[in-house]
Amino acid sequence: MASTYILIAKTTLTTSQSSVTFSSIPQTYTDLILHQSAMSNVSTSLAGNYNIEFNGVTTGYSGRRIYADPSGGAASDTGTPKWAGFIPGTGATQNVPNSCTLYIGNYTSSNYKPWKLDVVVENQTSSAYEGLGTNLWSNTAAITSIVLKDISSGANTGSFLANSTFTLYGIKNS
Amino acid sequence: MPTKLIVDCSTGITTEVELTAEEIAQREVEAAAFAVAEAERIAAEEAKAQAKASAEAKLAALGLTAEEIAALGK
Repeated sequence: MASTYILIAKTTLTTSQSSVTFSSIPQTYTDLILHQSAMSNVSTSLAGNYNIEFNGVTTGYSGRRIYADPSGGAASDTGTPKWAGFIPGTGATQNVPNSCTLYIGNYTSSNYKPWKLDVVVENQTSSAYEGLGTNLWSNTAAITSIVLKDISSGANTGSFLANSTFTLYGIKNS
Repeated sequence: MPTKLIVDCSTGITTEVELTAEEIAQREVEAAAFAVAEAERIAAEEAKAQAKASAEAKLAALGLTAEEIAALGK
């Protein structure tokens, strides 16, 4: 791995958590990568969704995603402005986490902040969800904290399960 | 009581904090909003699929073959 790809923080849950926050993010990198290997207790046949917020701000988010689900075919929508990925729920094969990577570019700049993500939820040989997201946070503040939260499927809320892992990397452009 | 985890990147210290009543209520509000948005998304997809099927049936009634109808969508 390139020396410009540097671990900032990593946590593996020992108990269920409704959200995970990375605070006091150093402002010394160009971009951020946030990788998740996570599971949830949300009640769903397979995959729920979860959200991301920056600096505790709840507004200014927009986005588009394309995805495929076990029913076949691909779809897209714009109704998921804070989308951080799919996550397996109680209907999925247990102990198989998602694999989700967010790339947040120029997080310290005074421009608006785009981010993109790719995610897969796999249900062992039978079905899977895959998704790609492109999002924008229309805010000029540097990103100093990130929270992953609001796991849901329908009106059900869930939590990240124990053994879910969250890893934040800083990327330098030189 | 549900908890949240906070990782301080400057110190490496991880703290577990109980959610406040307001935060719990907000979770439920946002889940309900997601449910509404999800229902709207599914309805829109179903309407789109129904419109496509209707259009294909009308084209077939005009004499187009299945291959010709499929070619229109490419």
